[in-house]
Amino acid sequence: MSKKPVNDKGKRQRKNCDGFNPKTVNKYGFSNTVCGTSSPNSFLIREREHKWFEMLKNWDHLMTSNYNKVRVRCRKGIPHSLRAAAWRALSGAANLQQKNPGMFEDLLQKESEWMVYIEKDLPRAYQLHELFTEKDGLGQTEMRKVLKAYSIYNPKVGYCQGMTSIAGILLMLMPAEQAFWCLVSIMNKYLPGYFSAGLLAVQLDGRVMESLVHDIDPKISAFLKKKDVQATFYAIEWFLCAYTRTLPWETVLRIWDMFLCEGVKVLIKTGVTLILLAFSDKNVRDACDSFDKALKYLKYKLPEHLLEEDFFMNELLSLHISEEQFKEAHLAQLAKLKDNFS
Amino acid sequence: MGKQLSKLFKNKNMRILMLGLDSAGKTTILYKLKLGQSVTTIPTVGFNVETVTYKNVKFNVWDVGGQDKIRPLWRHYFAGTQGLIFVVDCADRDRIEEARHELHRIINDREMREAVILIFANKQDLQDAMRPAEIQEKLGLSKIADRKWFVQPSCSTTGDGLYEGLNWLTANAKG
Repeated sequence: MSKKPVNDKGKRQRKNCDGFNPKTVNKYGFSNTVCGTSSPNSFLIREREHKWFEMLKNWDHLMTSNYNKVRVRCRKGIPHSLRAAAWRALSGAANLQQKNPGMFEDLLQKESEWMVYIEKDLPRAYQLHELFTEKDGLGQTEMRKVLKAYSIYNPKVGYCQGMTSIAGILLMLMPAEQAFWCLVSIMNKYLPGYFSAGLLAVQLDGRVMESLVHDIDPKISAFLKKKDVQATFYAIEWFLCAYTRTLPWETVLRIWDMFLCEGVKVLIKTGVTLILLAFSDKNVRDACDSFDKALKYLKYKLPEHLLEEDFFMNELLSLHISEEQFKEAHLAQLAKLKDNFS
Repeated sequence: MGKQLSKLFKNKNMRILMLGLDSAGKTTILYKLKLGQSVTTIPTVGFNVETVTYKNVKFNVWDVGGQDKIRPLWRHYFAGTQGLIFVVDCADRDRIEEARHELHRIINDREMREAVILIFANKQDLQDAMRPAEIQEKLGLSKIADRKWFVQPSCSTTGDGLYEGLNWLTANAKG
């Protein structure tokens, strides 16, 4: 779920206060949310479609010979009409599906011990999106299949809340079997350990994000530390739902274009960007003078214009964090986390 | 005297932590209290927090996601909690033992020693819902003598019982 409904005061509200209203569905299928005005012109879109069309024809060769080109184009945004194909190619899901014909249907024939949990969450996922509002409609039925198949495919993980958010964004773009293989790839390759008990991998990435914030802006880092505002509180939803509940939908899609190309560091970098945007203003830091206020600000009160596609992506892309910085932060935080648990 | 008077008229703040198994109705309760209406909720990953003012008391209510994999994060929210609201889905007989286990783990934590314990025996509107006396027994509350606890029957969608619960918290939490 992306943008939250805006009430008459212009303040963001909890997204599911208002019910689904088919009359207000936007181009992405969401009700009661406003689309940004920042989409590129149709000439540019067509040009990009052409480029991506050519790229997808020679995908495997391109990825080995010119990954940089792919990365640059993902950062510019994938044209929406080719997103499904591009995401399947980027994640390797298209290959996985090709190598495992019939497996999805076979998995669905088996029993899953997770069904009782999945069933409880199905009617609660993406209730403002036209695909998922109808009880046992197409969206819910496909979501059931994808989550069930995954819980059998990877019994160690089974099912965890947050996976509905990931499966949902995929199902908005592609049919169940394709979404399943994308989910497999994301869970196993991009976010291993994220959905395991205790959420240690997520907590580790949260700490990496905090330490990067510290490197970039020690003032903000000190402010957060003083108020005891830790990633453990605010970043769990960011990471586990890959920002689908945090950012406007156009921005979510752009983040995902990059995430599927460059991996989890995009999620971390997005978090760093959000923190910097939220607290770079001293007036905001002064106003958020307690743990409660700072967390409430981060969760409910970030000014909408900061999250708009063009502005946010510009901030994100101008934030330079080198591979070495990522690696260093990761190793340092991993060692600390191990210390804590030994 | 002056101090007591000002205490009487000053808005009191209370930090409340609301926990319970997944889909017990925690978030629905939070927004029913905040907005006075029943809203469709999404499974909470992380937390929700709202301030609810009732009878001059400002309740800062923290609602934290309840799926088992996410439960290890609960302890981060313990510090400073004055009242625990533990929400139970009374129609979920299969998991009442799991709820008992989690409840005792929470209240035995050092940081939760000072918190009073309110149980919302929720979903009373459902057929075959366990009644408060049965909940009290199955959660092993009868044996707890050194803590203040109370079982309040509730229905989060209609709001029945919710304010009675807040009344109990106001009367029993340490200032």
